[in-house]
Amino acid sequence: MLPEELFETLNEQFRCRESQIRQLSALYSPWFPSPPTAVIHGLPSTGKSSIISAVLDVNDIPHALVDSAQCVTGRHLLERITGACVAAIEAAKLGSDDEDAVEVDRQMVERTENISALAVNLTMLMDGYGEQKGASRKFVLVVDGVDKQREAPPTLIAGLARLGEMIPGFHTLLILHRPLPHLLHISAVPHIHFPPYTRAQCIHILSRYPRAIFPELPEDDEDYTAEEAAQDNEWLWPRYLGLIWDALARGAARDLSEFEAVAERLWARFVQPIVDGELGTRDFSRLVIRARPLMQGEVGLSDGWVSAGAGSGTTSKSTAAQITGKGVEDANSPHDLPYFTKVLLCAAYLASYNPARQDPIYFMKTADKKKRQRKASATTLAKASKHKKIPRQLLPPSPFQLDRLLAILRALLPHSVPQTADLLTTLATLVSLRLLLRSGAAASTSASASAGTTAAGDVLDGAGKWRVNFGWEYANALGRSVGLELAEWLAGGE
Amino acid sequence: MEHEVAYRFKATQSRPVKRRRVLPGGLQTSWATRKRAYDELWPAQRNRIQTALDHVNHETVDGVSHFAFQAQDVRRSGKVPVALVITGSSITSWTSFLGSLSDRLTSSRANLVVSLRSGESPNLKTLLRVLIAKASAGGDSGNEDETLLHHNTGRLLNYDLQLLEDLLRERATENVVIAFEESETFDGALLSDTINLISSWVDRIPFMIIFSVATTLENLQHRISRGSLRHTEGRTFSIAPASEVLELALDIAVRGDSIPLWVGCSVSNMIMARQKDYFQCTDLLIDSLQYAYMSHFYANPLSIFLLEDLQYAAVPRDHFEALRNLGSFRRHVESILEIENGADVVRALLESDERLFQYARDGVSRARALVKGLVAAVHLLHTLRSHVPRLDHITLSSLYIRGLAGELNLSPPVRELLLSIKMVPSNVLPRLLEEVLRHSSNNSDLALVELQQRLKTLTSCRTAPLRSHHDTHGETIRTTIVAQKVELSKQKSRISEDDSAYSEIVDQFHDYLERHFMRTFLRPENIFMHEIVIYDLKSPHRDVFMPRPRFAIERALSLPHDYLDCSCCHPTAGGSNLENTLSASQPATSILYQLYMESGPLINVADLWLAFDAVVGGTNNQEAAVMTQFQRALAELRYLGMIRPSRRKADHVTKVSWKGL
Repeated sequence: MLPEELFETLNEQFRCRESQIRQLSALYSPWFPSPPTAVIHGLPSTGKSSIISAVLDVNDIPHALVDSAQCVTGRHLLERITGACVAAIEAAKLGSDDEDAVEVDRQMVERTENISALAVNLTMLMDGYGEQKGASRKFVLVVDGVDKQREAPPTLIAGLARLGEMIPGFHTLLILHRPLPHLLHISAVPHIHFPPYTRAQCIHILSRYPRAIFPELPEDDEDYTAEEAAQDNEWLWPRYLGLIWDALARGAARDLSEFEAVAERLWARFVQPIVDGELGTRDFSRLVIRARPLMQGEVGLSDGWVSAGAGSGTTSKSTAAQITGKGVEDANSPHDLPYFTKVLLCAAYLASYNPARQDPIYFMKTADKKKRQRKASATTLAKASKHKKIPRQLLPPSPFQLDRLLAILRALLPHSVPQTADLLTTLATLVSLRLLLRSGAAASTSASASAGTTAAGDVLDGAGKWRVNFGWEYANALGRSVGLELAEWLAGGE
Repeated sequence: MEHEVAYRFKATQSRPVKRRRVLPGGLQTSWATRKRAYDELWPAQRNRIQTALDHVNHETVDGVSHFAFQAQDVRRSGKVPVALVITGSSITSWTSFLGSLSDRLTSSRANLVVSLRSGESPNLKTLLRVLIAKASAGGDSGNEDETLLHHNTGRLLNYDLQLLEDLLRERATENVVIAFEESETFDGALLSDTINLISSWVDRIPFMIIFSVATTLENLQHRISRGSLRHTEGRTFSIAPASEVLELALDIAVRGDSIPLWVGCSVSNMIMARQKDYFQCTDLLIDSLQYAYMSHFYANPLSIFLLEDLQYAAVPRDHFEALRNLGSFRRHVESILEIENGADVVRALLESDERLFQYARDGVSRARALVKGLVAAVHLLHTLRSHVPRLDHITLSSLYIRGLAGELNLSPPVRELLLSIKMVPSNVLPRLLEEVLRHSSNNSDLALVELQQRLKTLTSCRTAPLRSHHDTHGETIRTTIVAQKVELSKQKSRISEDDSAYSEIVDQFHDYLERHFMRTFLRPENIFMHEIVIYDLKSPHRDVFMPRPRFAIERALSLPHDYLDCSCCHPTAGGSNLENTLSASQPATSILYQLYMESGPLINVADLWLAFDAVVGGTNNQEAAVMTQFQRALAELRYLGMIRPSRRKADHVTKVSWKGL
């Protein structure tokens, strides 16, 4: 077991993780035997990997830590494990001042194509290592987030879990997000759970470093000293954290780092009345009333470059821009699409959302507009009475043929359309921008073409079908900018 | 030589000479001179435009590079700095922007710019491989073999970012900028994955990402997972919209002292309309201009007169005949005849080539001066309109097109401007005067300078702007009822002495401008020698830049005579009307296509065969041959994408394309 003073330092460093630290240091102590494999599991930002490496460091156990988030393939992970083990064992040998601390033979462990090669390499590595000072010498391999590994071979986790059984003195520690016993194929593996922090724990941890109310202390006020400011910060920050937790984080950002991010994002806005001198530093309840719109909206929770509600209202947009400090592009940007591109997009939207059956009603030049609307609503009503139909606009866009698109384009425009290749080039541009998608069998060929192999399928092959990849708002705005009211042409409109 | 395993091939000549008539005759004799003229004149113009365009986005370049220099602060908080550059749909502006950005970044500090395209990076592994390869090639030292030796933990896979880290450790790089070209074309999951991976390396490798956004930011953001977005810190930038860049490019191309050739109204109208309707792309504009220069110098023998240092001896004789046949020359001669001694001048021009040479040289330089003045006046009109409040914005290009069409004189844009100048208050007028002074060369300056002085003395001791008496601001409408009739009468509030003095200045300025515009807005076709300085032929541009493949194929199939031009297929050969053009002499595919046009969306192949057989009309023993023709034609239609085998009905094909769409 850890000496009590060491334990105290660790506990000071990592709050609210007492039992986990005790369990870990019991499992990996320099004197007692350790299990060949152990599993640490818990949600993100619960302190798993940092506590593990701290405990191993304190106990002076040589270890290698590999983060599988940085590994692109399974092979990549294995190569990195080998590399990290070689480096760690070399360092351990140097540290032990061994006379015959021979360099690890790099040629020997050059390739690690699969898990068996890893086992062989590690066996060779550990060969000269474990016997130097008796059996008590151990080596721990920590693999972080191995259940999220990209392109992992199916036997990866089970294989890693078995390494400790095959190689004496070698111990594997797997960090997982969720415990998956069936993946390990061995029983009685010690599991240590890192539960998410509770409200009190979160606030306790984050209160250790309170944020400053004033970015710099007001110079004209000599009475307000730095100590007083620090006291105010310490007083206000935990209360503010509690407020944020109750209002926002409880539902949407329970993870410690997300909680911290949300709190940081809104802090400047929250204390703005104090900085402006309107309220005192201890007027918490009035500050809360002032901050009510902040707590009710989703401003603090948006992670994106553009806030989610940017299109709906100007107020949320401006607040989002103020809070996140990110420039929000104006809705009517000067980067206008060319005329035919816009009309083509409108036509594509109509082709996707109008049933092809009703095209004669909507797009024949002879059809009267009023009649068209009445007829359309009559048919939809008749249908609706029989069985409930989901409105078409809520459904995904249906595929259409190229000729139908071109025909609708002609129907939409009051003037004639020049029959040049430019229109088709425009279409190809829209496909490359992913505003239009190919669907069905042709999509795979175009995907392979874009993958750079060979241009197998013609992008403009007449047989293929197409879909739009944008919504009603975008289409409607496009239509208005070229003087088309799309609702008039759309079937099933209210 | 055969005893050697390998030998080095030494070419005796640089290029084999084509067997063709070496000595051109007729008007082609000036070909070499014209080629020289083109080689001299066009590259200079191109460079002028290109240098102007390179500086268009300097503000955005400044912004992004500033962001890059401060990116370390963002990375310290564990986030990836992301610059979102909104480029619009045009890809060319992005390439020029990225070029100047990477020049800026790589010159001033240790930065590395890597541009990625979706075609070359379909998945994460390949993307990283390309990234590392480009980054290591972009640096000044080392190839891949070296980097493999340097690292200290055994062999690394070629997509391991550890390689990049080792590489950068030696170079002390401040930023590794990854520019995603056309970020819409990347797969959303791939982008998210890349961001995740990069953010886990950001403490060791100073990464920074640039996305080029062609549509909208929301569109891009929706495709990236929220978890990845959380790892980024974005800032938006916007580069100059393509339409503005186009205006600028056109302005550079037509305004200036060294312009040899102008593009006429119909060609420029076509170019600009195409830009507005289909693509916004400056490269296309430059290409169109280049093609105009090429067509003019390669096909118009008289273009040699655009050479500055042309000698009389260098002009072949028949060129003078061509000159005498020019439309503008004839009109000019007729107008000379009306003045005194005109007949002598005309006689000399018609008889002496040498005299004509000098006259034409003068005519060309005069025509150039006139067109230059016209273009400058168009520009002045545009500038003044932008300075006067409450005038609609008309693009410079459209004004230019109307100016070269000769429609600008007394046109609405000019009259609007002149009317509002009458009402302009005294805080706006000085700027207008300055613009006009800057525009006008030496003559008639004195009047303007004097106006400016008077204005200065008038306004020097006043704070409120003066108003001219044309301004309706001081007008009140008075209603009087006399014998149950309402009379409206306008009444001017009394204007002060200063105001009336100001009104006088405004009137003089107005008259000056009116005269100036009257003088400069000429009809280009009335200018002597306009054929030489203005190129205005639409059809070459239309043929070259706006191909119509589908139309051409459909026309070839439905009216084969248009292409074959044989007597047998002539539409009227059969004696019947134009509608019925089917005949056995036509190509089989064409016959089948015309039958196909008459049928519905589902075609029974047996019916088609019967009809085909009836048209081709073979006798019984020829049936096999006709059947071969039929099958071949059917296969060709299928190859052209017009029919498709139908799954709905047996022995039927689906009609896929309709004519004229």
